[in-house]
Amino acid sequence: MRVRRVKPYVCVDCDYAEHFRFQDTKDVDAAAGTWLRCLTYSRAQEQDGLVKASWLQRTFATTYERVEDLVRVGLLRLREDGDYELHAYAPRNQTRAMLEEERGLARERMASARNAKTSTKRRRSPEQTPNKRRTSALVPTSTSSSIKHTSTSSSPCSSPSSGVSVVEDPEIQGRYGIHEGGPGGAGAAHPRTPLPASERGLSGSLWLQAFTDGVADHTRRPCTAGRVYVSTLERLVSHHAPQRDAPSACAWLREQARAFAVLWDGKHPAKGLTPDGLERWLNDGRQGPPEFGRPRIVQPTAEDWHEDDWSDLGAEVVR
Amino acid sequence: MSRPERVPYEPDPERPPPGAVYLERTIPPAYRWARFDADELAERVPQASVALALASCAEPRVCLMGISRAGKTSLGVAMIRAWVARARRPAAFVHAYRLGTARIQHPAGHGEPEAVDVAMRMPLILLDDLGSERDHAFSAVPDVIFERDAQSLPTWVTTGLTREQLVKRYGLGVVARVFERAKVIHVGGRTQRL
Repeated sequence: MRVRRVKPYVCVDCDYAEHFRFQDTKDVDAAAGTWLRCLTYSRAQEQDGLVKASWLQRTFATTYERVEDLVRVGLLRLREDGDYELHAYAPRNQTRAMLEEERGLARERMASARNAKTSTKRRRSPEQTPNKRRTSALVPTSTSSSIKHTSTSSSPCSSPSSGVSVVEDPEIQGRYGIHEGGPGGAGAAHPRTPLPASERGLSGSLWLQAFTDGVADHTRRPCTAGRVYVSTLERLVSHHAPQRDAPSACAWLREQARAFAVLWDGKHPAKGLTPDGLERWLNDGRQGPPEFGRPRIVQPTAEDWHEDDWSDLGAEVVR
Repeated sequence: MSRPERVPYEPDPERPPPGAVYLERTIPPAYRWARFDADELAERVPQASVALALASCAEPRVCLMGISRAGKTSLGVAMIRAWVARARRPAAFVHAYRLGTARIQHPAGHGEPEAVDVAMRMPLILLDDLGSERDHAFSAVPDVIFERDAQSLPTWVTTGLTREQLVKRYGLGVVARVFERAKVIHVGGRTQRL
């Protein structure tokens, strides 16, 4: 069994150096750098906020006054055993117990997923089959599950003659862009992994802001979207966004929301001008609203009225 | 028996001119007042537009254009009354929307509806509110314009649409048959009713 470890990271406020404790230091830049190095060291070594005195003496051998400065303002606390402890390390940054809990949950989740696959007998070989849940066309939505999911057991969509499920049907695969190995097209060789759990909490408000900005940019009306839509935006970023880092995802969301509003504002889209509506629009292939008949030509208002040039037809505008 | 002696025709100044009776039947009641000597016309339409219209009464093609409720139809009715009084020939006021629905409401196999037939053959028609009729394939408006152009019959129109909208609606062929060598009068002034 291969254990996949993600690279550890720390969570720091963007304005952490503006904190009053840093402002009380003699050199803010030096203190901020020193404190950040202590934080990353403790997280990488899974020390739960503990910073070894030996590491500090070796790392800051010539500039140990920076450590003393941090101790003075209370960002580092001297322990009885001689080591130091970072102020308010958890829960913003994960402790060893939190990491263990998360890994345990991941193990259970994967085990249940594998058991479900084995019970439905859809594994055709003893090797690990590619993850076909992640497709570009059949992404799960807030109201529907994927086609593959519906064709598993009750099999209303299964072909009775061949015994092949809908998803395994080559015609259906071609129609919906489902290929062996994950998403269709270029993404087939690199199936997209889910976003890390922390991404939702960190970037959710930014996604919401990007969406409302994009809609309001076109409608010129205030647009609001509650936290209930964060999971929808997470799916959008996870499945559709070309770049999933927060700045790129927000820029992409803003652009897509604006394009959605341009097409559908006032045309009563399904689920409205909301992230759910945007998700449906993206999943349906960015379709515009239906047009029934030709647009009716009406007389312009006084503001839009203008005199035309008829000279090419030999007409004379008498004045 | 000897034949009665022929008496030369002398128009009776007390009787309306020939054609005026038919014209009055086609003019909607809302525009019965519309004459060049009516005080309401001076209140409704700017004097400059009235003067231009009065000078264009002899033109075969006149297009009265302007925003909605500007007084185009009032001016057109006054003009067509003046034309009938001068030419002593019949003329008709024709709603574009009636031409648009005339064929649908007429039984098939019985030729053209009377409204379309009159619009095609009358010596002069005032086609009111061109472009306001429903846009469908059975509209007789383009056919009336084509027929009158082919017969070299004068046609006056009022419309609130711009050139771009007219071309989009009817195509350049129809628009050219209406506006070619026409006198275009922009009826100015904002209506007081809005």
